[in-house]
Amino acid sequence: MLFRRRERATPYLLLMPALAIMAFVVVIPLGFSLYTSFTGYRLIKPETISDFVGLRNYQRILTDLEFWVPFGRTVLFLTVALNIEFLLGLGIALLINQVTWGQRTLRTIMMFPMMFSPILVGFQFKFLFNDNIGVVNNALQSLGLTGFAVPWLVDGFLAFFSITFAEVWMSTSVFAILLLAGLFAMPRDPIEAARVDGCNPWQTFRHITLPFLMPFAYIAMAIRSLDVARAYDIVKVMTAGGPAGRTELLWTLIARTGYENSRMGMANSMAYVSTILSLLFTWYFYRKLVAARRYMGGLE
Amino acid sequence: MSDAVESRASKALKRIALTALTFLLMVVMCVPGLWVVLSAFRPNAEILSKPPIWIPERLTLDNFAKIFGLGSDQIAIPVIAYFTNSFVIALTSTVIALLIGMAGGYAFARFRFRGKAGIFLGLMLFRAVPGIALSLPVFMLWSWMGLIDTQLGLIIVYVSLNVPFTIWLVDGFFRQIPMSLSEAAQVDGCTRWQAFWKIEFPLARSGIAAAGVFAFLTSWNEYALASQLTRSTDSKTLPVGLLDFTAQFTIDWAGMCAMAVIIIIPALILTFLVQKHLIAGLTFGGVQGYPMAANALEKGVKKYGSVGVVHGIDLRIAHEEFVVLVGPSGCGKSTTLRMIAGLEDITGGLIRIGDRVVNDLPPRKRNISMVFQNYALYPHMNVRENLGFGLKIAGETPERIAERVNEAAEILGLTPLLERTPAELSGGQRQRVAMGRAIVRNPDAFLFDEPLSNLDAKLRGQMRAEIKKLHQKVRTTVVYVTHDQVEAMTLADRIVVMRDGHIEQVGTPMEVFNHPRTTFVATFIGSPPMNLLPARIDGDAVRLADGTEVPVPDRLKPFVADGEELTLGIRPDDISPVGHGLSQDGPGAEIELTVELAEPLGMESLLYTRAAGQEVLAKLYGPRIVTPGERLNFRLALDRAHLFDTRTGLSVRARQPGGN
Repeated sequence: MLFRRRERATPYLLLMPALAIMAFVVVIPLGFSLYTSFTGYRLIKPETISDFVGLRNYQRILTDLEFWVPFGRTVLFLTVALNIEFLLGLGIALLINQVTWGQRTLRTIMMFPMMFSPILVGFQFKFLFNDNIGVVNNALQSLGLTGFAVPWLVDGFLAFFSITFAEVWMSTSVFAILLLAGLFAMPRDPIEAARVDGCNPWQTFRHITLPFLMPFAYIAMAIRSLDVARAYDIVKVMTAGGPAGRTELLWTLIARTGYENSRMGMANSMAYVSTILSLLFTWYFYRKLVAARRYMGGLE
Repeated sequence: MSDAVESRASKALKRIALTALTFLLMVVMCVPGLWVVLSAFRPNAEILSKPPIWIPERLTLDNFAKIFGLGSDQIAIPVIAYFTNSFVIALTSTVIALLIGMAGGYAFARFRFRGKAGIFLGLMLFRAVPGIALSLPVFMLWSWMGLIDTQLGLIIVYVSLNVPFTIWLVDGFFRQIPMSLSEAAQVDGCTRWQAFWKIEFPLARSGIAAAGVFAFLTSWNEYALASQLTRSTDSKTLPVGLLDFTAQFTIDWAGMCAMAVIIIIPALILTFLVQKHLIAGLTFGGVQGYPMAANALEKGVKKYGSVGVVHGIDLRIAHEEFVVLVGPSGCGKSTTLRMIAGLEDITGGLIRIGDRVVNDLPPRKRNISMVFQNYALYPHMNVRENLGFGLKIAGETPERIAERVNEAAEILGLTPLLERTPAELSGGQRQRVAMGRAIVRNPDAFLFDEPLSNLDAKLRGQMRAEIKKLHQKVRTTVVYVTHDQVEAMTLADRIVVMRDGHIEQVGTPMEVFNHPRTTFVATFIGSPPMNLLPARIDGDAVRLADGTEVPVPDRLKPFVADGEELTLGIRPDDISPVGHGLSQDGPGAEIELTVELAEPLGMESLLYTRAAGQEVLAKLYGPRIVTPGERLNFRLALDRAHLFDTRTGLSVRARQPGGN
């Protein structure tokens, strides 16, 4: 590789457009939203943009259960959904890895849910879980499994289950495909060595395969963390945070506060909290990923 | 026997069951999506019927007709406008994001620069800002800039959404392509840009396609931002348009399912088209952990390089000379070679090829050719194209290229292989193609960077001979780097022994072997290595640590002083049991030693003995059995012994002016 002095500027030049667009669409707006979060800005009263209120918005949301409950629910939602996605994805990857005939077809089928727009997934499950006309209830009732219509999207707990189900359906493939890639990349020797050393299949999986797959799991987590907020689309459509706020997540709360109630200042302060949550999440898995890579790199 | 058959049958059965189960599971997983797709082609009554009708009685396009406004009950959903908006916005933002992301990804994959890790993480973190959170300030700013409800407004946002992930994928993909390919192309006469365009880009194509599909799908499917930034048919996209089917309390499910199909179909077609690339893209791009390890190593070495692996090398290479740079790994020999090639920057001094100072010339202007350790064959070209690439870049006519390529192929015996791709060649054949690529260009100098280290021992010996023959045939200056002293000895006109970025000694193979300038050279050249024993000069004798005395060789007498602490060096070949050495005349000394271990090698044996408390290797010529513990009288051929300054490691002869 050439690293001539006159080429020292090249990487920066190459990165310039990327940095410029990110600055324009992300950094500047984020700065602006930081400012707005210190004002009492309401969309319907433009002059309130200069109504500086200091930390009042933050003070309010941070002392308000109406904020903390959705916050906690968001964390719970992400924890549950991502763990299920990881486990299911791992299971699917292990299964497909065992299959020798038609593997390519299987991989294509597996990627089917990835093609769906989150908003579409939302409508799809709203359609399926509809207590009146949805095919799920329809089937359950006609098979005689339930005598009544299960209120999938009306009962608070069931609604939370339903949105988690939709999210898991949409995103499990991402884990499956990356873990499958990990299984493909896995060298045979350590597995054979473990077998010779007396490991049973479970021990081999637990002590050899799984540790090897962890970096791939972190990659999947890191990729997922970039767009988990897409779950907003699903929730917005399926329950819109209802019933009675029982599926309200940070993101739906922000949208409601900002756009429906026009309280932009407040919404921006919430958005800031949710942004920081996302960044920590991404940063955490990125660190894990880098560390795991370094560790695995040492093995090779 | 029948057990084995049975178990094989049961294994096969198990496998079939497993396959069937997996297929079943995957299909079940798709059912929710399939149900929607199926519903799009069924009449409303059938969709809503109780109990559910699993197998459709008839399929119909009525729902589509309806949403396109063709049916009787006209609901005006401007599907075509939405579709056009979606398509234009997704496509434009994808193309722009790809261009920007490719430049950025390439920068990350191929350059070292300040703040690299930080910028990378920063880009990823910006991408992690939740869409809905970002939509608030963007919505306000876009309102003021008049970008609300415009395609441009959404395109800009989508580009920024896609750039980080594109960079990630593209970076991963370029890392997969060995850097030596681009370097080889530059040595072959390409500019940096040509090397990118003709070599790296085609190889990264599948990764770039995958990144493009991901970007397109992200834009195509995005809702949170679009729902706030669009208003009318001027810019509304399909996902936003889905909401047109929801009224206050009712949803037109049949119409919505039809719309869903319209959204899914392009995504499916696209994914299916690049399905292969998509998986490769994710596995290579997303999962760059493993190659990154190798890459880090490379960087480590280079960093090493920038701190200065190579110090003040002063070397003149004569016309048509075969020079071998040899030394242990990390000694700076490869860096030196890459400096000559122009692949590594030099911080001071001059590099001349012929009478041109080439310090600041890029590789392509130096008229050199190089054979890389991993051959750096262009995987997407066949042998003929690989050989002719440099000439093509130089703008030679096809006739001339064909002529030169055939000539080179003839010399190297590649003629029957010309139409094959590198993947279809054996290691030795690849090696030959790499050499062929070097010779077709008729360069001022050949540079070889450990060309044989990827071959097995037998092939290595064979190729070594071929390189030697080639040099005799083509007679061009050669600079050859290796860590293998046998290669150095057999190939070189002159050997340059390097250690820690310094030249230890330059000389013909025989000079280096017979008159090593330092203890390092003495032990590095020759196998097994020379024995080194601490000693002291006592009058006319060399006294070893245990008191054994041998006379100071006459030819070294002028160089030593009485009482001096020195190191006595003597090769195993020059210590043999009396009567079993190569030559028994000349000055010598006899000492009695116990054999601790004997390694018979056929016509000769290696004897491990101990003298002055140290292991000393000796050689016995002739097929005689020696048993461990046997005491033998050894003769030291002192005319071939060496004395080194213990402190500096320099040969006593090299300490004096006029000495070697």
